Amino acid sequence: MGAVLWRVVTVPFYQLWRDWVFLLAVYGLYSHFRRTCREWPVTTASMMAFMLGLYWQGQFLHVLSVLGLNQ
Amino acid sequence: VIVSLLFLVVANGAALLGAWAMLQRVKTGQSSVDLVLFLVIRLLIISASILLAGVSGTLTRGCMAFVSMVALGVLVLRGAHRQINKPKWLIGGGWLAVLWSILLLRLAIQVWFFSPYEGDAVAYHLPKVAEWVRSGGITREMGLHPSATFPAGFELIEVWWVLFLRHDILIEVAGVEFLALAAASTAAIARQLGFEPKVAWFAALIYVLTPGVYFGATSCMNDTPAAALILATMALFLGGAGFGPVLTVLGLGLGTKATYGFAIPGMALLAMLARPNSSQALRSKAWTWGLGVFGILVGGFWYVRNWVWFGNPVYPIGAPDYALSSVSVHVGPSFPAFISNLTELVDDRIYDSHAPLGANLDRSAGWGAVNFGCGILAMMIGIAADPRLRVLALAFGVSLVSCLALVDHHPWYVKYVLFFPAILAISAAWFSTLHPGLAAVTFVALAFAALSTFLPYDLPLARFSDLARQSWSERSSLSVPEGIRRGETVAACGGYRARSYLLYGPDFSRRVVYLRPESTQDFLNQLRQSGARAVYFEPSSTVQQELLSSLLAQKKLEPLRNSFYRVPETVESATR
Repeated sequence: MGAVLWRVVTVPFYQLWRDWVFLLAVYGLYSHFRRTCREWPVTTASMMAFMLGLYWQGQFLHVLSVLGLNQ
Repeated sequence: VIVSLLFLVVANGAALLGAWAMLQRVKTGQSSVDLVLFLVIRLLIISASILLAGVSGTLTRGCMAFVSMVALGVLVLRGAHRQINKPKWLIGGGWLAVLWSILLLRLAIQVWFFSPYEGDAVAYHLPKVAEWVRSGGITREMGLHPSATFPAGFELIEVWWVLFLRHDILIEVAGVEFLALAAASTAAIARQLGFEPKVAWFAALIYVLTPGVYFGATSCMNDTPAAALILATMALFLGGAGFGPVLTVLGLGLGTKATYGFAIPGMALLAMLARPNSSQALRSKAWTWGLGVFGILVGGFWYVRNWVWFGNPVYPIGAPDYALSSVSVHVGPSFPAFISNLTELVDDRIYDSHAPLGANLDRSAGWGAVNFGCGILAMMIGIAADPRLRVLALAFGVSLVSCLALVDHHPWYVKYVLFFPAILAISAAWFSTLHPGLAAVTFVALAFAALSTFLPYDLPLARFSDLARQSWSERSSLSVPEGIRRGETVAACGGYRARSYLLYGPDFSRRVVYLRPESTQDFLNQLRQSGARAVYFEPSSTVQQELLSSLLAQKKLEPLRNSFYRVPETVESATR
């Protein structure tokens, strides 16, 4: 909860959707209360996929350009 | 070439068999920890051999081959080869073995086609290697980089891989040796946490494919070796290998890079909190402590050398000129640097969004897709669920904090904490076993990590193609102008930007003389004494730029290309 508040205060609101600390803090809260739920694995996998998407957003084109695939 | 290859094989056979024989006296009985010990002992044997030969002035292919043959003969006569057990399939076979095989094949291709290219490696680390190989011993001449006198433990392993062939075609294998140590250490740590071999070696694969770690190993940089030795220390603590072997790694670590020492607080914490369960009965006390003392002697050599030569064990730190250099480092913890380092890492660099990845990690973290996408989340859950992972995370966290507090806030500081992604990799590997959906995302991320570690940003496809087109014997990332002949003496001048290792040529056939002039006349005097007619001048400061401009304006040098210059006939005859 502390991490959520910290990021809400320090990160511009329109950037919170892509702030990994905020996202994982929210997920951590969810996981703390819903760890034994049936949908937990799917939610967790979705969260990981979203994090991966965030990473790709920054690095994917760089990788392509180094490999000569994005001239 | 065939004789050289034979020497290389014999020398490596002796180092492997010697390491195996020593392992029998210090092993813990746990295969994952003993593999780490074996790799550490092999590195110690190689380091000590090169160091002894270097100090005694016998660092030649012939001497080293002779000593290796004698050592191998003695080991065989004493029956060391009979102690070799049938190798265990540590990884566990199946799809993981296939992935590791593909990775090893790709590493072999990269070693063959890469030639030293990274700016820091060719300006700072490797000129020493070339000087030592050419002169057959440890030299006081180390090149133009202001930090050249820092510990050079990794360079000893690089010398091993170039000495017998007298060629740098296999120089990247030195980094691969440490990549293997990093993988074995990550797997050993995971095994100590109670994970199955398959999970442990999957964690090792994820860690090895961390871009910063992987590129560090294939670029002749010493940051991955330092990270590997930090992980080895942790693995040996967790595995209960005892303080002797840990001292060995400590010595090798401090002798490789001082940043290894920055992570000691976390390692010490782990030593206090870990409860190893290995058998003491297997080990000889004399051997374990002997190894420890030997490691400290090998690693401490560089500090003693600097103390004897320069009156300061950590020279050039503290020297007035060095403090003014743009590559200088501060000493001791800095709270402002820590805040800047941590904030930038968390808020920005961890996304790796600003630039393509490479060994120097400019403006990036280089932790990669798996560690970011899966590892952080998995570690968060793991810390809550597993007390053993909690202890390990605490140790890694303390080491991370101490490193970030002790390094300057510059564009490449994250390369000093490349050990940290190991805990993210272990967490991600464990997490992927919990549900097929989690495994699927992890594998997609791993595929991207594999894609992103084909080529670093400073060796893009076009440059790589240039290297691959050259014959192996001529392969070099430096394009020498036509006016510079093979084997010709080259005078090198400049500072930390001077890529002087490349001047020697891949077969070390060119003599390089370093000029450190303070004026135009001083330059001409030093040039005359060197006997060189070809000059490589790469200014790294305003003063050096002004000196070069002055030499060109006075027509003392004729520009060629790629920072090469020719001494005009008129100047040459006048300076004679």
